[in-house]
Amino acid sequence: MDWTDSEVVAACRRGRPEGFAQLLLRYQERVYRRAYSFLHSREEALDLTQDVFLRVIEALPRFEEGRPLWPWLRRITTNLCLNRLRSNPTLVSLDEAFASGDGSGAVTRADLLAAGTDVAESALGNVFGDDLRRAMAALPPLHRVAVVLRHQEDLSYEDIARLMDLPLGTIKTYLFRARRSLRQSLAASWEG
Amino acid sequence: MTKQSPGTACDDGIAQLYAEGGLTGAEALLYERHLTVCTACRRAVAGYKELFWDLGRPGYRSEPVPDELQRISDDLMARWDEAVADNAEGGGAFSLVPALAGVRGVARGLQLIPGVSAAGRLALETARRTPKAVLSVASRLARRIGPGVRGRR
Repeated sequence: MDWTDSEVVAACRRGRPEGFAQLLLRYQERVYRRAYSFLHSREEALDLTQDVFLRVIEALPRFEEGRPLWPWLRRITTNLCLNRLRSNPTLVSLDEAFASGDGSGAVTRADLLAAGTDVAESALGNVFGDDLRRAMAALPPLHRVAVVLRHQEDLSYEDIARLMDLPLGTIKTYLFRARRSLRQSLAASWEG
Repeated sequence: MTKQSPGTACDDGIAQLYAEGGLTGAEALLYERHLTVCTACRRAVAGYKELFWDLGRPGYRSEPVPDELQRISDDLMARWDEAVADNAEGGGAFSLVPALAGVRGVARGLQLIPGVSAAGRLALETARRTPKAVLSVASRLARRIGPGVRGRR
């Protein structure tokens, strides 16, 4: 049975364990993925996922029934992530898979495009995904958070500014610099 | 980001805005005029459009989910049970009482339906009186039949 957000919240507020189990089933992986995209560290993302749901257990009785859960969970995830980044500004990518990668330049994007097959398309996705993840990991953390909120959560500049509690002009600057940096990094790796 | 007229100069910020559809109609028309003569900006716009598309597609987002997530899930369920148990003891945050109040509410609601209360009282009265009625009929029959087969012998 597919539970709606309202049913999940109602069951949780009555103390029913299956309600909270559904909440985890529906959102735990999504929260982890978002935390990972912010932090680019598997351990930090796991830790943050646990913190998010501990906060949920505390705050759920005050959550208004009928409201969608994801924007609320995204806000908690983003806030906890920003707290972490602000308390530890040196936190950069700890992901061993990308921190020391050599760019695997043996196959270029142009080579794969020239192949023009489904296999090449799939391989292109993987290679390019790695390039993009590596470029994202190299961004300053707050710039990365802004990019994720803009391009993966489809939030407006104004919503990002509110969520990150920063001036709109700062968000525009973060996005401009981050996207220019990403384009330059990717152009360099494609040409490699 | 610098503010420049979209039609007058090369500007990476404007290329980004154009690529994500952030220019007004008039600004976009001016910028498109600039693009017809500027290879560098055309390349920049193409690069940003591709970047934005790739940032949003599911393939990029599909990092493997670690097995530890299941252990975290089990821990969280245990914490949930504790929180609910604490609530039951201390009258805390979770509204377990309204769940029972809901059942009582249904009972109270039934009483408001016309005839339901009267039907209930009739059923109770019938149940209480039936043994007496049966006894009364039985004793009347016994009187009419007389002492019975054994007595006639």
